[in-house]
Amino acid sequence: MQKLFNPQSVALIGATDRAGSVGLGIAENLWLGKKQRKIFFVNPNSKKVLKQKTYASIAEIKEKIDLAIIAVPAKFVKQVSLECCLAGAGCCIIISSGFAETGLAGETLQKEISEIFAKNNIPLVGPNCLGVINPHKKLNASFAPDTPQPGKIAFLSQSGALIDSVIDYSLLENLGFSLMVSYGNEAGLGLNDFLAMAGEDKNTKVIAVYLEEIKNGQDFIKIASEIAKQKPIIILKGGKTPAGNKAAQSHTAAMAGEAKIYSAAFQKAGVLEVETIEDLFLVSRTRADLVPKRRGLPLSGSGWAILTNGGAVGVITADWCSRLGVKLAEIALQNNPWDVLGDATSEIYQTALLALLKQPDISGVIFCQTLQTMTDPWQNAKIIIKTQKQYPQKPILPLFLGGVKTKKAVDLLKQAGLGCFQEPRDAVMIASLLLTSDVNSR
Amino acid sequence: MKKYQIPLVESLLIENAEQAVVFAGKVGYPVVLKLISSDVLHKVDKGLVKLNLQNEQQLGAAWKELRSFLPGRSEAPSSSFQVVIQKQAAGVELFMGMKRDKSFGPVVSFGLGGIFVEVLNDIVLGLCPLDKNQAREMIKKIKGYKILQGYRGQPKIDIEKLADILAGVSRLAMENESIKEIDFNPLFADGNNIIVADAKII
Repeated sequence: MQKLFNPQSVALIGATDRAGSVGLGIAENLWLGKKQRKIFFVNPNSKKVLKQKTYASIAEIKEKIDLAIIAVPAKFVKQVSLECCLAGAGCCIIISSGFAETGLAGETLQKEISEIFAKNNIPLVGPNCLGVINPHKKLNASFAPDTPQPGKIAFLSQSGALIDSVIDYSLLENLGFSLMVSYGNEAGLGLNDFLAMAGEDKNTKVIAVYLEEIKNGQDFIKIASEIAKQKPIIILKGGKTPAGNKAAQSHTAAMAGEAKIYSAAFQKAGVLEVETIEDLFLVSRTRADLVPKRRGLPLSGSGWAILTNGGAVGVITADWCSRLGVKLAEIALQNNPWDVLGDATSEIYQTALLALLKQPDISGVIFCQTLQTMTDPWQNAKIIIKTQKQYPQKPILPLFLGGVKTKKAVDLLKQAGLGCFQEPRDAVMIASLLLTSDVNSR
Repeated sequence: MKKYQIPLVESLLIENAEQAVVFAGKVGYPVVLKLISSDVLHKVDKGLVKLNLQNEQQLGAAWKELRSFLPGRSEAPSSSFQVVIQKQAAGVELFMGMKRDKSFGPVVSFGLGGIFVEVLNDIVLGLCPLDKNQAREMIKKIKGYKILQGYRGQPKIDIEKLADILAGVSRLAMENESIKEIDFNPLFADGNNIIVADAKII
């Protein structure tokens, strides 16, 4: 795992200066970590890449290579793989596509290559993948157009393209990552292996996964249910259309569609399933910020509190709670939603927020803010950040309705690693998912 | 099936009307006559199940209709047909099943049964192995669970017994890899009287 996510030396086979190429994309990304590790570019046809000396083959590099990255056309991959094994690379990523995803011939080639690595006992990632990223160690062994900030979320994705867009989104939303893995065709290491690695990784507090298919479901349940006791696993499953049921002979087979089987599996493993990309990261972010001793454990308390300075947003939020099955707590001496009224200053908000968090049976607070004359969004955001640090076991979900005047405060909350919602449904959806994940992991 | 706590309704393969009448006399009316064949999977659609036969006359008429399919008759489309007689079960119609998923292994299912299986799609799935507690939790998840708890004066259904049967289906699947699919539809539940009226094991 160290050699893959924090290698001391990396060789990129297929490095090039050609604009718009995968080889250049990876070379540039790797170069960001030039102070952390030695980087070698291999290309027999050009003398220099990124003004650095190149090698004709991995065999020419005198030093031991922890991580070899192969980004050459599929027809050359087998030969290069043999060379990497001969050079005794610590592990290998095959970025190249043109394997099992293309048909039978590609599948055969992929099998031959995976056997080469298996025989030499060298871990293999891919083929047909974007690569791996460890922002904490400035390792970007991928051709993603950008590098995410370091953080607490490991993102494992069957799709590489999704990672590209998630990185871009994360930079806007101030979302940090501990690891990113595009695991491609799983010829060597697969989802289950990366789950186990993310489970062991100290920087990872939450594991977010995008997948379409699980190759070894029974192993997945064993591994995921062990990890989910320590770290929440949140999964978005794509490809839910019913398939493969036509040949079924019984009612059961026809009705037990693929999506339902996956949902049953996620439930058995104590994994939380979400329906949208946004939910995947909103839940991951909120879970990552809960303190370690609560992580993976049930939220304390028996219900949520809504704190608001406007009747309407409180009512709309309460309606969503009812619709999505989020229980509202009884607030001592107050109604829930607790309306601190339109002229509420930040001090009033703070006093109320503290009172709510001190009440043992309250699980968390949805902090609603409408923009009225007396409202100070910036100050309110600061209060939320400060109070969340004081009460790290109880999530505070900020719901700031507005636009231009609230933007700075929203950005401040996001920079602090807290989410900020601008639509009641979204905040309540996250509250409901937080509860669900706790029920599952019990 | 006893080994797995799966209660099957008492059935008899019959070759003539006399055997049917003797069986009905023993278990009591009403009874059911079914034409069975590996070619006919959804029997009700084809009108090949004669339900609620109240007396000897109805039984005789039903027998006449079904026997035309039996081997040796000129109308018989194939020789794979047989006729079975059973006691007519009553109660809420439920459904249990199992299929093997290529990735996750055996998956059991439970829901409201009979002809409603496909219409309402009120079905929950669980991955095997499934113990009794997990089976009970699964049963509670169907949308129609209130129906099992006794509604409008109907008897409350014995959930413990249902959970035993569902856990039994899980064990049956775990211990017998040659079984690919199981369909218990319907499974009748009347208070603590629970019985599988139609079982298909592939």
